Amino acid sequence: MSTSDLPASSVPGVVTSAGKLSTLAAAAVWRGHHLAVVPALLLLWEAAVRWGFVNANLFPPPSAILEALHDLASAGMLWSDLAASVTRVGVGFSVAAVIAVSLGLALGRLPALARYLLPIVELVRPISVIAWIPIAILWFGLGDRPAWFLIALGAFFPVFTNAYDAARALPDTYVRVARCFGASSGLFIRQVLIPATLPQVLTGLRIGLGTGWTCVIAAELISSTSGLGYLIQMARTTIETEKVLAGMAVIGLVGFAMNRLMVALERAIVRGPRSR
Amino acid sequence: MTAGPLSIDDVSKTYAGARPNGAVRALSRVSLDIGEGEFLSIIGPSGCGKTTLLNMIAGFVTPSTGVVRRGAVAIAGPGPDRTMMFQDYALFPWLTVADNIAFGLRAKGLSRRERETAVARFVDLARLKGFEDRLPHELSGGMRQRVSVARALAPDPDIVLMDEPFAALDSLTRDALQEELLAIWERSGKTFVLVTHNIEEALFLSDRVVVMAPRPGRIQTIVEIPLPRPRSPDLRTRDPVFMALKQRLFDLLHDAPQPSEGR
Repeated sequence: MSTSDLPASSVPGVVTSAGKLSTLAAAAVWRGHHLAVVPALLLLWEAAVRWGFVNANLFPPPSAILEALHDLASAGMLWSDLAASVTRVGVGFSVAAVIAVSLGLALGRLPALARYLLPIVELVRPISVIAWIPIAILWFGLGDRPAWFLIALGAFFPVFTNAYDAARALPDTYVRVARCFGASSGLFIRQVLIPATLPQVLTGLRIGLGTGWTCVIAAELISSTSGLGYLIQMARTTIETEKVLAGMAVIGLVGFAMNRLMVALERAIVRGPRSR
Repeated sequence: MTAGPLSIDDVSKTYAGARPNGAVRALSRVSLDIGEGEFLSIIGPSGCGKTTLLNMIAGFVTPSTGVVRRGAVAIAGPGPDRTMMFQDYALFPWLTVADNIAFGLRAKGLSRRERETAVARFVDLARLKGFEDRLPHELSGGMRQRVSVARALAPDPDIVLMDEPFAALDSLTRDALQEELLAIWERSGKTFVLVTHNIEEALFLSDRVVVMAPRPGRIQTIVEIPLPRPRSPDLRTRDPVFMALKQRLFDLLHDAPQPSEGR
């Protein structure tokens, strides 16, 4: 795997002339060309604003957004709002992860129970988290609690579905081996069910965390007085477009980082032939 | 804990079909006694019910009529007195060799120390020393097969059931592992029941070979294998009795005309 991933140009001819080295360097630059798309677009945007093609009030240039970001960071607001959002997701997602994994695995192995409970899940699933915001405010007021609820709700479904599918698809052979040796439910869950379903459960958790991150912003737009969602909403009321976009950029970057973290976690935990 | 020989008493198994009148008779009126310490093979074409019979002894399948007993007790489900070597080994790919072998020991509730001692013994027996911490996918087919043997034997069952355990191996590895298995059986004093479609394998290993016929699955005949033990690999190519029995089993399986059998 790893050797075949090596760029062909770096394998042969390590000891070569300077001319060859420069072509190698050029090849290295060329291989990274897909990474240039985002900076190129940002430059184009900057240029378009400076040359007056677009309205700077509606589309503040990247330089202005960076400046806003710097202001927010040095004033400390960015950090406290970021911390508020991340903490909310931490709480809501943890609750969802525990409930959704256990329930998904249980229903996946207990079809008789699944027949009764799955219709409820399928009926609630199409209700967007946005539609839950009013009732969440009525139930929990403003602040952390409605956000926890909405995040948990949003994260629940991808985690549950992946856990359920994985448990249902558990090869019958493994169940028979466990039964043959007289394994207790505890041993079966620890050494068979969890490891067998782990790769897909982790995928579900990664998707669920992403969903949770979108939900926290939605919740904060309406039902909170802190967090990144609240930050961009406040910037909107004061018509500071560059702050709105700065907040959005942070939301995007944090979501991206969370996803990368989960991918790395999946790779580190899942061993064996299935890790590829 | 149940004990004693296995007796299969007038057992039939019918699977309900998808359509009315689509029921399949997997087994029809099978009776068979398996002695303690016996090596018995069950051979037959696909659809003869040999795997169903094995699964019944294991306790995975319950008879529609009739009963399977260990000693005086009817078998109602799987039990640690009967372990199985599964087709394609069915090792847990996420567990190391040592943990795979220890699975049945954990199931029995042995302490950590007892487990470690037993695992070390069976790692030695299955010639897996140095591979304890490997995962199954890092092993060759022959080594996986040996892990499967060790996992089945480690919990110290009375009866070891084997469902085509050598089917996926090349013939040289298969021969070598059959010889190893035979040596293990001879020392263990346990009952081994093997399902196979390989005549030579059944012949080389067994005290008796049960030949089954399909539609409905039933016992066609039972062939005694009077070859002396311990058996040497030479038997396969040199021994006239072995060759004659091989021819006889071949004829039985291919429905050739034959002298009447006592059944």
